[in-house]
Amino acid sequence: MKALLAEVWQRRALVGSLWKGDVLGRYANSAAGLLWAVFAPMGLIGVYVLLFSALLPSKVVGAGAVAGGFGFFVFAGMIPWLVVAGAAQNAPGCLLAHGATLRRFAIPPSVVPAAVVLSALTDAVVAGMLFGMALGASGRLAPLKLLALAPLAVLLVAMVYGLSLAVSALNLYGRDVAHAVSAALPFWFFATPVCYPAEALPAGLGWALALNPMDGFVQAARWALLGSPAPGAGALAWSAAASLAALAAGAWVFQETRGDFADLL
Amino acid sequence: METSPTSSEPARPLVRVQDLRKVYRFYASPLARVRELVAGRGARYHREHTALEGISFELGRGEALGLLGLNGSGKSTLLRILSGVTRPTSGSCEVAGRVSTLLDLAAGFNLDLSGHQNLDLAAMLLGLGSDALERLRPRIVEFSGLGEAMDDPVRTYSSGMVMRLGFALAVHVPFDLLLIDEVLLVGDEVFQRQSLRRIRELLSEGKSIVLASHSLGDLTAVCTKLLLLERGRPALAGPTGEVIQRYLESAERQARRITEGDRLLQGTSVPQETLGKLRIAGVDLLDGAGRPAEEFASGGPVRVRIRFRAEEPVEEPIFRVQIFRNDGLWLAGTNTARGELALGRVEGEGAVTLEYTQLNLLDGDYFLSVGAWPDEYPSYLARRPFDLHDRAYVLRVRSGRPEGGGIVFSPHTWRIEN
Repeated sequence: MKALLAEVWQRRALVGSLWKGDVLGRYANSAAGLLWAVFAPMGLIGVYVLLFSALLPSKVVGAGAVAGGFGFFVFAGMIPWLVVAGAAQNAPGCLLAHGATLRRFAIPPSVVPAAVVLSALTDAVVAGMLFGMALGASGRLAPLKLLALAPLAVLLVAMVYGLSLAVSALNLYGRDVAHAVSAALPFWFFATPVCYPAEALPAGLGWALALNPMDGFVQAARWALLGSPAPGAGALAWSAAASLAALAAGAWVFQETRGDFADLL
Repeated sequence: METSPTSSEPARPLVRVQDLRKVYRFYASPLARVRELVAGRGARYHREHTALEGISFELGRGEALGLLGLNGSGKSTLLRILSGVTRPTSGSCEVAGRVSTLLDLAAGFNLDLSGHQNLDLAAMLLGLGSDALERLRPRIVEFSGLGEAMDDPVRTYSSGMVMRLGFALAVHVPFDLLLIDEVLLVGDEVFQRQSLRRIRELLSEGKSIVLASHSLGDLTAVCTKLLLLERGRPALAGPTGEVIQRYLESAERQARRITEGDRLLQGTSVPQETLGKLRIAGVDLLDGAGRPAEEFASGGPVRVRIRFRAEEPVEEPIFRVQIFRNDGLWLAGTNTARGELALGRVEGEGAVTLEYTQLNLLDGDYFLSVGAWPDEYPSYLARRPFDLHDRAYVLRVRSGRPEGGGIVFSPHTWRIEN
């Protein structure tokens, strides 16, 4: 893991250039440009707000009552999730997409998923800034709490990078991995209290929440952005441990398989 | 591959390859891979292809190694291993320096970006700082001759322009070892000469080059050493002159149906469909007195005797002889119909002889195609020969300084005008 992180750090300029190419490439030739990074999740948030507040209002919305209403509640929780969702979409195929480059230049392949995660983080940061502007306009922003999010963001990126390393490598052996990731993603999403408050979950399902490392990140985001109750130390510790474990496991898978990449691309 | 920093010891070669082996595994499906993993050691759910085996060589600074061999003989795999992209299955490959590659025509360019933007991108991928790139940029642009076009998207370039940019980039970035696959002889004559000059310049600066090609001419122009690969194994290796000599000699031993063509195309040539009724039993290259000869002098006579056997009676067959240079350039050709030799009805064994009263070729090895045809101008797709020995015989021509240079012998005299 150390060797992998060291090589990515050494080629950070390359990661930056791949990241820039990815972000610019995605929004090139579109009039709204980077704003799509916000509009796309806004649409999703709109659907959830409509669904949960209009159709199933009693249990869900009452428990999720926060300053700014249910929309802000979902939006705040969506920000960390965007990192996962963005990476899940692009990580499995990223080595294949850069196959020509990887075949030609002796660059460390680990920089490619790193750029994918950075792009996903960019979407989340853009969405977060928009959220901050909306919230700041109503004078409710707490800047100090936002600083506390920085180490959590690092942990979240570590986890997503670990998972991205693993799926990008394994997808070379069988494209099933990419399909499996898209199939599994909704389960993870609904197991994470993004569009509903944790309290709305039936008591029997509490264990699922306790195992989900995203729970800590989502709670922390709401704490910093909306003044919701802070996540418990246990939940945060679990998120941190799971993140580091995911990074270690992903890096291990990547290092074990990278010798095959040139033959599989 | 291990890449260690440049050593100051003069004794250490830049490239050291030892007992290199590369095996590709093919799985019928991803599931087969999983099955093999689950079944543990001993179980095999894949098919193996040995792309390289037993490759060992060293290359010092300022040396150029030529890799010669058919498609699929392992040249490209060896280049990819040297570039550090592919790992060998076993054995070692050490390059004590930086590598620059020119392994495909597109050179990894992004077609949507301009020439200049592609230089930025390539510099990033090569780990070249922007300062270093800005120092090199004017020289790269000048060498490529692209000028204003550097601001246009690469999509709008002709393939020659793309190649020139790729070549210009590859030979100007800092490197110790340059890997080139096949592309040297692409591009127009002027650019080819410019490229060759730059390559010689690089060699004299102490850079090393590994060049893969089918073409002997290409390799001898640049390389100090040659390695002939046959199905991934080293067939011949050594200094260029020696290898070429042994290569041609061993070729000649193959019952005179020899040649680069025959040897290079061994096992891969498209089976020639023939009508079969009339077979070419043998071809003899004879001197003016009708004696078999190994070499022929420019300006002297050559006889090509074609021995044939007709399995059944054939009406008015035509025999054709063509002479090619080793790169496929057709130099001369004639046939019995053009020579107004009517063979009538042919049956059993017989022979025809073509005599060149004066051989107008200069020093070199040329390849003869000998065929027996039912018509003079058959379309290559629609019609088949009775028999065809395509570029199967070597005509070795020797000439001296007085005969001149080039490929065509033109009898001449010099004199002083008053």
